[in-house]
Amino acid sequence: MVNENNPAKELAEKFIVTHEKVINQSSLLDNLNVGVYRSSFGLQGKFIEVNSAMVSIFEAESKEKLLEIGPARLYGDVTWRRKLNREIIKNGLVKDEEVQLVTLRGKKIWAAVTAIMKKDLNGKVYFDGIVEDITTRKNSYETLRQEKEKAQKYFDVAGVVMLIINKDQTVGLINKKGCEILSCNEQDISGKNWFDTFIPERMRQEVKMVFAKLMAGEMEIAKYFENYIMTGTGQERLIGWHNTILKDYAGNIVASLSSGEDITERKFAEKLKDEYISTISHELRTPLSISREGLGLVIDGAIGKINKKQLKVLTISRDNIDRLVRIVSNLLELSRIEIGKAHLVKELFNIVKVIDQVITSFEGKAKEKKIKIKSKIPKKRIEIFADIDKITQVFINLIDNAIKFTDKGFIEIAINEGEENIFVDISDTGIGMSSADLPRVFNRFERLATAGKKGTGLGLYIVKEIIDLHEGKISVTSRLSEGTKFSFVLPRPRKEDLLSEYISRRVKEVVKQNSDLSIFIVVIDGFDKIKDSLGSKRVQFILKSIKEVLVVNLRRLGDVVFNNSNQFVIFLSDCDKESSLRVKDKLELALKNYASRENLIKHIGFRFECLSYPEEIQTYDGLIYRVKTILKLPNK
Amino acid sequence: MKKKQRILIVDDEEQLVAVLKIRLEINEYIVSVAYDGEEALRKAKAEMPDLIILDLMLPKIDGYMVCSLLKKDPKCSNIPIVLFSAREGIEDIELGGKVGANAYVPKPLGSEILLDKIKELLGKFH
Repeated sequence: MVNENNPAKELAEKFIVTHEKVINQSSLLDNLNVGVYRSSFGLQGKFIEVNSAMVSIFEAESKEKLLEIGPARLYGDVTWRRKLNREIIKNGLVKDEEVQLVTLRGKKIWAAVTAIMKKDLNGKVYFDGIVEDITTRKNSYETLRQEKEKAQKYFDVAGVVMLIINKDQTVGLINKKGCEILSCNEQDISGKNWFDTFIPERMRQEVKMVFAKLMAGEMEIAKYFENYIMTGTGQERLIGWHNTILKDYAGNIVASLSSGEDITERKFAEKLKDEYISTISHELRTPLSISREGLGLVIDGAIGKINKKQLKVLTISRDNIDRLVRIVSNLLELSRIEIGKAHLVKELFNIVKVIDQVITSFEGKAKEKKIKIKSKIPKKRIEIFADIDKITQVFINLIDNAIKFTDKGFIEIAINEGEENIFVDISDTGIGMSSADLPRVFNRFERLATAGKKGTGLGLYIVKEIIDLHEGKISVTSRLSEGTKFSFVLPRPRKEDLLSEYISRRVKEVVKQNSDLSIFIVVIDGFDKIKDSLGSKRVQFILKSIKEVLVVNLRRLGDVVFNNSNQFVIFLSDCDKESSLRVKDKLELALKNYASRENLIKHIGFRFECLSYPEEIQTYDGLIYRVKTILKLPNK
Repeated sequence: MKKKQRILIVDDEEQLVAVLKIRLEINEYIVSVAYDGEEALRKAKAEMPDLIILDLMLPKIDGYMVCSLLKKDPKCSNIPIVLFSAREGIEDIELGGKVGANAYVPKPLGSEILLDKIKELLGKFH
């Protein structure tokens, strides 16, 4: 129903209700933009009086012309007239009845008609009425309605849940698929508090908190996340959501729009697949390692002398078992990458040692092919913060490849240190690749023609995936029959990487044991100033002393004191909020005493940030997030 | 002459145990074996070996439990334990550390690393 407040119309309405007699006397009526009329009753009925607006609405030449005709002529379709008449006879009036009319020039218009049936002194029936031209409004409303219907159709046609959650947490809109997954009718969902109705209780508070932050503009929206919802039948489903924020014209955040996919079954299947692959890989590796060990015993001559020919055959067998182990490892790695489970277990290690070990393991194979493995590696430790198993796999795959495709010459492994990165080159003098083939080398299952289509087509794909996971880069240059060079870059460890990793592990450990944990972060205020005035040597000493004060006063209560320039992180395992506050008081006092002893009390202050698990923060991720926020570490 | 040191291998893969036993014997160790968790506990307490090589996935009582029980036993708590398993992941290593294992060597690999670890631990503990 189209309805808007029109003061002129209100006035006209009052007029026809209260004025019994003549209505065209009033110049006021002629100035209105709504039509006002009086007409006699019946099919032959005529206009008795009309105002100026009536003339223009019905495109009449003059009032007189309009008075010549009957209102019945203005209905293009007789059903409109009948409908209106039925109403007015039944109720004595019609109000804002929308009808389609035709002007004297034959133009179709939409009008809202209000009319009252009246009787004169002789008992003769007549009508006083108002006609408002609503064509423009009606058309734009119609367009709008069609657009909305179209949008709703898109929403409903989509095979995913489409959901708008308003700022006040109520459901603004949900499509058919959404209703289907939730096993509810649209009426049972729209307007309900989304979180209270459809998010399982155990995670409700947390999800609500995140949503509130999002609506307040304090947080970037996660483009994708997964969470559980509870359907109308009490089932839990895992949904993967893609999200965006909706703003009003003024730019205020008003709602979130999400499209969600039910991934419950898929996740379950992935988990099964993952477990299956793990088991199979174990099943494959065990017999391989037994065979390898057995052959090793014979090859080493440990259980009896063997001749040269026997040695050769057995060595070939052992090399091929190693090859099989590599293929199994690659298949396992592939399936992990596919599942997206290829998370990194990062640790600090010496990459030089890893390269040395891999080179040693390939020496036999290289010797057989009479190729040399040269290494241009500095004789010192080069530490990287990475997943040692995966990085080892990278070297194994690249060197294995190089040997496979090189028949004469050498393979060279070089490593260089940059300011922020380390650079590794692995080059060979092998068969090389054409420039046309190069872009495809890292594709999965790609086996190039120059390679005789041999191999599983997995090695280089896995190498690239692993380097990408480490935020590194890999490239390749090659020339047919001259050789190939793979170069990759890995970032050197950053201090915050190490700290983040350390904190994560520490928290994870505690959560696993299901015990309490309190974390203090002690921030030294004024630290930057004393750094300038006292010099770095003295400041280092002060830091060391502060650490000692903390360690001594913690004794066995606090496990670790971690120093990050002017911040210390203290982990108190098995310590709830209450006892942690006692420890805090003690530490605070000790630090103050130290500062006054050293005449530092005017220059530095100590600030304590305290976090308690599970009293204050209930989740592992939440805890890590808070610690990292306070320490201003990157939160991924 | 130096006294030979005794090692207890615990693994349900009999063939793996067979080759590993030979390898260790060649390296001048006296080897005894157990094929499940129960047997492992019994033999460890009865024989008091100088070191135990322990698989994680064992019948009856699993490797973690065996390790943690031995480490809590005042008589056996000083015996170094090397976890030797095909299970992967940092969780295993961390959990291993928690139940008191002294080292973790992943399968599959040649026995070189295992032998190095054994030598290192025996040097440290005895």
